Parts: sequence; structure tokens; C-alpha cells
Amino acid sequence: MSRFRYAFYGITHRYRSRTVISEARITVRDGQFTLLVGDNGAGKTTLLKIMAGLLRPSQADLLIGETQRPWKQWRKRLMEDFMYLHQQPYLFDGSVERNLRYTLRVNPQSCHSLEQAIEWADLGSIIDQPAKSLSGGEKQRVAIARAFLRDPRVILLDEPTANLDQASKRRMLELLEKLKGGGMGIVIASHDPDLFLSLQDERLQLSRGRLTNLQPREKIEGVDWINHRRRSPGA
Amino acid sequence: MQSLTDALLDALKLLLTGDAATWTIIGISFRVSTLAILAAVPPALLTAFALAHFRFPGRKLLISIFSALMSVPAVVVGLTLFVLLSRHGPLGDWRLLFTQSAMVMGQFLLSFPILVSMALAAFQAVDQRAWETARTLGADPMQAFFTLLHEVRFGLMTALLAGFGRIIAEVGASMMLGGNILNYTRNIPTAIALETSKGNFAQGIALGIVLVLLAFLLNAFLHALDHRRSALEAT
Repeated sequence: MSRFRYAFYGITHRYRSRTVISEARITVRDGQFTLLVGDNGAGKTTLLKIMAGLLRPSQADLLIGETQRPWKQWRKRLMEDFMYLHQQPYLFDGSVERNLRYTLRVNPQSCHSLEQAIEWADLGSIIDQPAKSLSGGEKQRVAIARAFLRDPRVILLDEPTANLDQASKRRMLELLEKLKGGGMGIVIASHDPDLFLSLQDERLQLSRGRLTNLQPREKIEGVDWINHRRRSPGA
Repeated sequence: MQSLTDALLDALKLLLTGDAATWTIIGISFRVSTLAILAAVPPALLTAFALAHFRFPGRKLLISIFSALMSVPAVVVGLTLFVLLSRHGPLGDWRLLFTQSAMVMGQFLLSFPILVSMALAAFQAVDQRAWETARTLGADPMQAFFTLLHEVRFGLMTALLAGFGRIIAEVGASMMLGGNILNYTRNIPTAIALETSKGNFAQGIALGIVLVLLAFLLNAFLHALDHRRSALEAT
């Protein structure tokens, strides 16, 4: 079993008077593929953005390794370790190459090179094209290539196969398989769960703001779920 | 009194023969307005970004105020600063009245709300995903801010040109704060007003031609920017 890395608990998010997510718990490990399903408006995007550090929740706690802190205190770490991919990836003005180079510029410590990313995601034929002119599938491949360069511990994908044709979906699966094989944790929100059957280690259901079908808590090594609120920070 | 044709011919002669007095006035105009716009751009961009990006009490009121200030008469700005900078005013010790610095201050105040309002519109038009993508790719807030500036560069350039166009042609604040001193604070609009009142139409027309040419150039540049933006968006 892969090693435990991140355990979010008590994730609650309210928007105006509506509770979008209520007391959700989720764990992410190295190399683990988690599928997140739920209806439109169930809060999947909100949950992923909270996990990525992009959206401040009303309340959440997080255990990383052995250290338990409120989400706010872990935010910088989340932004370093997690990466979020939009349903429709946003590519910056300029060529595909410029988008990849940008990722390298803001991640000078990246262990991958531009050439490796181009080959890895098979972008050679479109590398000079304006990024905004690409098809949906090509944009997703560029976005995944940026993730390859960024090399986060966990990648969070929001409906990555929505509006893609079958060939593009297959290519996306291949890339995700390679990322998982490289030890990256993957969480995917999708309306197309069967597509990921071969990859998924865990499936979670988000419904009316509540996350269910969590695997038994005792399986999560090192986390005292029953008494986690009484543990002292850093214990 | 000169005939219109004679005045026009004399005006062209003044411009084409490099008449020192005329070109000094043009130089002062561009120097003062360029300094004012350069001073206004950084705080205006930060203000616009804060208004676009953060939600805080009074935000909508501030946006309304900046919007209203776009059309405040230049002479009112001049009057306000005149009172503040006059010998018995609260800023009288600075001894800035009837200097180019006072004119820069006046033009700064005139251009600032235009820059803020138009830059705010540009920031609001760009997709929220641009900021989130930059951050989740590993950019720190400053890097993400500059990434966003690049994404909205056409809108910002439009704001800059509109602000410059407004201040280079304003007469009220420059007249009150600069005092229309020859070879020091006499700029194009104040010189036109003075020479016309003296019946010296040639220099007034020459300077007017410069302003009209500038207006055409700015409009042509804006048109080209808009064309380029449309072309990019169409790809």
C-alpha cells in the first residue's frame, strides 16, 4: 500500500447562506488515483480548488505527514504540492512552447526539460501553434504537459475528458497512467467514471455537499481519525 | 488679423522649420504628460487589480467613485490642487505652485481614475482561470500579477493611451497649476489659449495641428491594437 501523505478533514464551505460542502474528508497518497463523482453543482470543483489552495474554505483542517494544522496554515504547502487543472484548461497567449517555457520559468527547479515534455506529451507537431487556437484535446495535452514539467505531488483534474472525442480521451488516459506510474497522486472529478476504471484506486461520491464512500478510516495509517481533533499540532 | 490660409501656412512653417519657441512648448507638454502618466500607471494598475481581485466592504463604492472621477472637469482638479499648493494651503511649504511638478500632480490626478477604471475593465474581462492557472503552475503572487498584465496588455495599452490623450490636451489644470510661464510651464493647450487671445493664430494652429495629429495617431494605434486583439481571439 502506498504511503499516506495528505488527509483533509472537516472541509466545510459556505457560499452566502448555502453550504456547498459539509464536513468532507479526503486523503491523497503518492501514486493513488482517486475518482470523484457527483452531479453538476455537487461541489466537486469547489472541493478540488480548496485542496489546491486556490479557494479558502469556511473551515478545514489538514494533516500532512504527522503535522495537523488548519487549512490556512498549510495553504502555501498546498500550492506547492498540489496542482489544479480546469475543466477547460487556460493556456496563456502565445505558442504552446511559450506555455511550457512559462512553467519552467516559474519552476526553475523542475527536473524535466522542455524537450522531455514535448516528447512525453507528443506535442512536437503543435509546439509552434498559438495555444488558444488548439482543439480541446490538444489543450488538455498541453495542460498535462505543464503538469509534467511542474511535477507536483498531487494533480487535481476537473472533468478532464469533458467534450473530448474518443481518441483524445484515450491519449488523456495514457498520460494520466504515466503520471500515476511516476508516483504522482491524482484526483479526478468526472462524469465519465467508467473511463477510469482501470486506473482508479478509490471512488468518492459528492452529493449535496457530503462526501461518501470513503474507504474505511482504519486503513489510513498513522491517522487517529476518532481522536484527531484532540491531537496537539505537530504531534 | 491674419487670414485663415496665411495662419495655416505660417503654422506649418513654424512646425517644419523647427521653430524653437513652438517646439519648446511641444517638448514641455510631452515631458509633463509622460511623467504624469508614468507616475500614475503603477498605482493605478495595483488599484485596479485589487478592485478586480479582492472582495471587501466599500469596493463597489470605490469603483463608482473612480468611474465618476473620469469625467471630473480638469479645472476643478486644478482648483483643488491650487488651494492645497498655494502659499497658505496645507501643502504650501512644498512651494510647488507654478512649477512643472504641480502640473504633473494635476495630470496625475486627471489620468488616475481613467487608468483605474479602464484597467479594472480589462482585469475583469480576463478569465479568472488565468490567475488560478498561473498560481497553480507555481507562480508566486507577483509573478502571477505580471502574467495577468501580459494577458490583458491590449486593454491596459488602451487605458494608457486614453489617459495620455486626456491629459496632453487638458488646459484647466495646467493653466492654474503651471501659470503658463514661457519656456517652463507653457504647454500646448495653455499656449493655444494664450496665443489665440493675442490674435497670434499661427502658433496656436501649429500647436493645434500637433494635438490633432496626436489624436489621430493614438486612435490609429488603438485601432491597430483592437484589430490585433480580435485576430488573437479569433484564433
